[in-house]
Amino acid sequence: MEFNKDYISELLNLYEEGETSLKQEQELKLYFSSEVYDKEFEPYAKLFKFFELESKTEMEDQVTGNEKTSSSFWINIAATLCIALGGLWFYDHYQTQQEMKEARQAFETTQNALNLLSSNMNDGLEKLEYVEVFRTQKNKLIK
Amino acid sequence: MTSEIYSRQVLPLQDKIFRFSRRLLSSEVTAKDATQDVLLKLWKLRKQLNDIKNIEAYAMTMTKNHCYDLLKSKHSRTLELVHSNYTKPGSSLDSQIEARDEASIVSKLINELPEQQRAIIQLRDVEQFSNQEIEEIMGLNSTSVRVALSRARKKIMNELKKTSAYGIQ
Repeated sequence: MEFNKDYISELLNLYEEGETSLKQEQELKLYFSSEVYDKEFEPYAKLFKFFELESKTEMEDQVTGNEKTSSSFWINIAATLCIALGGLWFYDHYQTQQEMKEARQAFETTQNALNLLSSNMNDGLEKLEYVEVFRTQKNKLIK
Repeated sequence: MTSEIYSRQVLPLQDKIFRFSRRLLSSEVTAKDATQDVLLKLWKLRKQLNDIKNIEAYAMTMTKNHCYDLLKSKHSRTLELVHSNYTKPGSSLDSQIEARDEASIVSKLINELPEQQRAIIQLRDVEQFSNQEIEEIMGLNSTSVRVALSRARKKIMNELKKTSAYGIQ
């Protein structure tokens, strides 16, 4: 790439006056990025290299942000699964608990009923002793 | 449909918005926040983006206004004007260090300029907006843009010539 030194210095003058067009500034950028610029223009080279560098900086956190969202996506799924499984297990557990409780209650009521029945039976048996006495007396008389 | 316009035309501007607000706010973190805010504002306005001729300039105007608001409201209070060394990942270590030293000098010089000149230098020399677009973004006429640009460039070059003459890096 051949650049005339006079031409470049003229462009730089215009540049400082704010009179260069975007196209001319492009030429300057190209000239200074070629690494064969005249050492006389070193300070300008710094400036143009900086502009080049600066125009390429990106907002870094976008990439990491994407990674984060993809990992948090899986974490979300894992958390959802945990909650769902936990809920299922708890529901199951609660239901068996409830069944056990009902069964125990039924058992207790049955036991109470049977107790009542047996105590009534015992009462009845006591009364039956009179019949026994009556029968022995009757046997004595009839024999 | 409207969200398509947004992702096609607004999202690619993210880095430009970020660089511009970083230049104005001088803080990486605040600039990131500001970028998010501006993108959010544009998202809310996505239905009107159809009617805007130059979305890029519109986004930059919005960024400028947002940053000025931030500076106005926080200048006296909490906003830290921290200068961070802007590095770029990649490239070999030597050239990286060298580039960083030089870049940080220039970056520092630019940050020492008045707000308006800083903004104009950023828009013109980094983002390569045309003078007309800059007039629109900054709300200035063509003469003041050119004068501000020329002042900023002269000032930076003076300082750069001084440092290289003294051999100070």
